[in-house]
Amino acid sequence: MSVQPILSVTELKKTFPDGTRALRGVSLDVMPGEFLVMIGSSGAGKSTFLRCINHLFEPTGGRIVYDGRDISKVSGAKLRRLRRELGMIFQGYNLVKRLSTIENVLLGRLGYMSSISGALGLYTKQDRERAVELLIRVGLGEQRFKRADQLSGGQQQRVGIARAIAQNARLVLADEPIASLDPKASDTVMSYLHEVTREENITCIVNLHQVDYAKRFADRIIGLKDGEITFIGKPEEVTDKVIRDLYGEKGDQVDE
Amino acid sequence: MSDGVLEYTRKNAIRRRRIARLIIFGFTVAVLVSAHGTGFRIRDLYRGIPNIIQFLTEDLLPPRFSVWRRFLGPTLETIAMSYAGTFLSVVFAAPLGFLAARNVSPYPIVMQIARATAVFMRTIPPIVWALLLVSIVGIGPFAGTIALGLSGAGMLIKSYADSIEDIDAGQIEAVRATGAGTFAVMMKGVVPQFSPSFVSWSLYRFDLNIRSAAVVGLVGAGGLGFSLSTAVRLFRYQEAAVAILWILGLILAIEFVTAKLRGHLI
Repeated sequence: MSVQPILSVTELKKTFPDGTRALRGVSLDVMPGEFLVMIGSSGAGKSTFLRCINHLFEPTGGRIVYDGRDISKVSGAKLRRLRRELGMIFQGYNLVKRLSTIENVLLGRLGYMSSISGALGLYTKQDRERAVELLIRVGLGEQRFKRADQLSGGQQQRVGIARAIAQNARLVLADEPIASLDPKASDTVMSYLHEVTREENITCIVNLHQVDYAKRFADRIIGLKDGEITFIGKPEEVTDKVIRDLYGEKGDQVDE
Repeated sequence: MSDGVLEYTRKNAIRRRRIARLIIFGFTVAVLVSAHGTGFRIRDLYRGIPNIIQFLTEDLLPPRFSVWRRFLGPTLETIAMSYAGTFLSVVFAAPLGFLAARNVSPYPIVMQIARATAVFMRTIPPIVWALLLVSIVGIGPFAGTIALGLSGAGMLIKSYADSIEDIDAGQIEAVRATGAGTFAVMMKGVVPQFSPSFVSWSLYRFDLNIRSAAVVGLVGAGGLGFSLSTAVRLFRYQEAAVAILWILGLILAIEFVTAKLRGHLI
């Protein structure tokens, strides 16, 4: 028997109130432990896809099954329990800037605490020790008492990774994690993301602009265009023709 | 072709000039009508000049500095009123500010109610609140404190809500995505971003309350304003002058202190 997919999406649709059809029926199975990269130009629906999975956006139609549970429609306590298992990494890092680095990692524990004790910041000793450990792992142990906005972009994104891992996430959704970073920082962040999720056996879906990074790290690559999947395959199957189809004739959009 | 453009712009210029003339004419008429309505006459103002000079030099000045100690108590009372009033406003406005902010309010109807409450409390000036409250709870600083608290809360609800609406939605989204409960999202995602403007607005309100405290005092709601109005009513203008100096000094001092505090806290 084959392994069950950790995430199974069928005919996922999302139409925004202004009429934009961001997703026009996306179907995809993600296997446990996979490092999946989605490529496609801006506006292709990559971000919307990730946000529908953890219900930051409410999907308009289709079915999402996570770990054998139908999560197409969840709310309240069930949604909280789902979200804590799904780590999210954002293009703009989205650290709470006025909190310390370590507390930003600890925010990953909020899903496991009551709303009140979370609001008061009553993290357990184990949580604190784990947060320090995670920061050391992404090379930021020394920075833990600094305010988050004193870190560089690349450092902030590494804190973002630590926050997602602190959730004990089984699936990490990374939305353009390196789009705002310079090449060197991009390298570091992608390497950490790949390494940490491999070590912890965490499934990862990463949206990327940059095809070269996708080829370097992905187990499988998904091409998204105008809200539909137009390509699924191994990195070596991504030919120039595939890229042209995804990004249009102009090659210059590729290495944006 | 270019003739057409010239003709068109010329007509436009004439039209603009005509509108400008109409507006100036309108303003002039309005000034004359309101002057007539309020019985304003240059002649009276002119004839009043000797009176004004006499009042200033003989009645009001020099201030009778020997009574300065008499205003020490009322000054402290004014500060206490302002502080307690600010405290009331902040306690009342902090939760309502969250409910009135579009991006964090749980339901649109709650937001509307919170905003309406703010408008109601804010549009009634402190002195009107004070007049009402003096007749309810009697003359004294208690009425003044509540008056300041109510009108201040109105302003703070709106200021807090506007500041909360300006914060970075991404940071809230990230906290929400961890599975945090609503209250935890507020305290960890919203409050850290909001706290500088919270401090800033609250201090500013304290600043304004010092001025308002002097005004509400005039209708009997305690503090320096009450001492001032008493002195005027007893025709002790030289003592009133000392009260005015006290008010002036107090306002400047508090403004200095709050500015320093704001610089340190933010």
